[in-house]
Amino acid sequence: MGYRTTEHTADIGIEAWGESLPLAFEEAARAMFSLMVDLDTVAERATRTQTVHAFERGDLLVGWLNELIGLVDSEGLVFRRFVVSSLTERDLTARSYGEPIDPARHSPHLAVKAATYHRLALDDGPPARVHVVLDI
Amino acid sequence: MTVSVAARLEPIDGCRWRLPRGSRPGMHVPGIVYADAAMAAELEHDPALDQVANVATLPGIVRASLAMPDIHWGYGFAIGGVAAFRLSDGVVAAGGVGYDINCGTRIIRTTLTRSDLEAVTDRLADELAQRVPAGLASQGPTARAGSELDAILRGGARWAVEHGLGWPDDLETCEERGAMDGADPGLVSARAKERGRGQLGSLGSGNHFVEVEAVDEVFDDRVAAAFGVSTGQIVVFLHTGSRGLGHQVCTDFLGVMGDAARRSGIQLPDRQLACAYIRSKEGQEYLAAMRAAANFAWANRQAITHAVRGAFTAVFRRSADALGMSVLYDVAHNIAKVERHADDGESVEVLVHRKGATRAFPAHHPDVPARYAAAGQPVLIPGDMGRYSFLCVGADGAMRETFGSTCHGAGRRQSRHAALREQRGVDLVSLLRAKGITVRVTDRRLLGEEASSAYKDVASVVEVCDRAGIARKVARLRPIIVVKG
Repeated sequence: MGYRTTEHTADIGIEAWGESLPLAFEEAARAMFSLMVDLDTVAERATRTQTVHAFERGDLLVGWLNELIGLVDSEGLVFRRFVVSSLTERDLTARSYGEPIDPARHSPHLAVKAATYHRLALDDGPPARVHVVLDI
Repeated sequence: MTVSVAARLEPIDGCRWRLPRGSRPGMHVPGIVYADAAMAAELEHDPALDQVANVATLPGIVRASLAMPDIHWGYGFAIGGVAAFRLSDGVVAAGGVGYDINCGTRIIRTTLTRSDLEAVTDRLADELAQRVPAGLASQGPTARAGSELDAILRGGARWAVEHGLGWPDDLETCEERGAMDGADPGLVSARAKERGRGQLGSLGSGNHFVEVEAVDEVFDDRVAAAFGVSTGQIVVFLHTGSRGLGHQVCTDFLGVMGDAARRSGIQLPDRQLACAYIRSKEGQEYLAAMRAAANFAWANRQAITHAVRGAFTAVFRRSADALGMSVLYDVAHNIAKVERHADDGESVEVLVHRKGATRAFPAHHPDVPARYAAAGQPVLIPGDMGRYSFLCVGADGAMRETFGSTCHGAGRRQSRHAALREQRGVDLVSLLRAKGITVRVTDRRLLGEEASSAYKDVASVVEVCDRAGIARKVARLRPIIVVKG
């Protein structure tokens, strides 16, 4: 399991991998929040559940990441741990654990505007891999 | 799969390059790239050129898929992309506007000069940083929800002025007078409204900024006089957009348009080019939601203007009015608009997408404010925080060639990661301080990512526009205070 960033001139790509696609999705979410805050400083005091429906699995990843981005703006939450409990061709259910942003503790960094479909890639593996570009 | 088209760039003259229609299958029109020889060489391996070719495949595109000299790799459209579509059989693409709907710039004048700032630079920087919230999920002073938020989405900067966040005269020098007609708040999703409700009057992060700048060189005395600027004068330059509300509108409609394109059989070379026919329900709904988000951005820049005036008043103990803090101009650089343009000698209405491109209407165009009629529309081009920005003016060439558009900034040449790597261990705060630039930033890493070397030199970008006649240089501005997320 792990993630790294990939080069994009204006924005940032993330590549994430894990033993299964749900685990790779979880790593992708961690990668995204690692761009926003120092994950080690985030406590698990709030949880939110996301359910996403889409035409294909790539859209589920983009849709889920966009749900999480929405929660940053609307509720001021950042997350450090993610559990994708169900992932089918068209549905995803996940639970995310974090807390309200505290600039003094979290050393906030970049705001992510959106997860995009640009160079979106999924590979069942093993190991399962995903690539997604984030608009910064 | 994208086809690599870079090798096929053909020189037209010293500042124009053609991407022929045959560069990839399905192009309805050629691509035209504005660049000097060095920029064209740098573009050789850049995916941005594939994106210029991809846009040329969209239904109803008129004349050419255009790229301004600050072109760089986006998704769907290249950043720096301009494309116009026939209203009858053309499309509107959410990705042709981008996530930050009506990201744009504004310049506020002052009657101060450099020497007035010397003793108070740090205090002014602190006041600005305190009054203009910046950074991740930054929130403005007041949450706006329900019918109040709907009124903002309809009224834009006009709403802000009516609610004490500015002067009526501010609207006279805003593109669209600070609010587009045809906005429908009902088409903005609940999620978008939740994201935006607390964000009016906040800057965001990334490349957005508030800068206090000094005019350090004037290139066109007549136009500079018409714009009310002269050498040594202090101005304030803002760069921000519609925050999470606009981002969510784009996200929402990329999904809607992806479905619409699938249903109407439009072959998409790239998912981010999801589009709908302008005449379709989805196309019209996107435009109405986009206008609402654009109005939110105008209200946001107006609210920040109010905060900036407050900061100057607190430091100089004079009213903003006494400090001459009028709005020089406010212009969008991520937007789609119905405009009248000449096509084959005939005047037609088209939908112009500006994805990282600035409107640049010439003198005597009916949409140029009366006070600038003889000069032309001010064009505000931010550079990078360590060098300079430019004040330009719209030119006739823009109407002939680029659907009244020109560049929007320096354009990145380095990824954030590469920039950080290069700046590792460099004390940018001290370096900038040595150049007379005071920085307030919520996160120091951002300085490395936004370092001058990560950007093209905006002077060469503006030079190409000037030589091509799609905007003319008026003045160069040097940053003194930089406030960023």
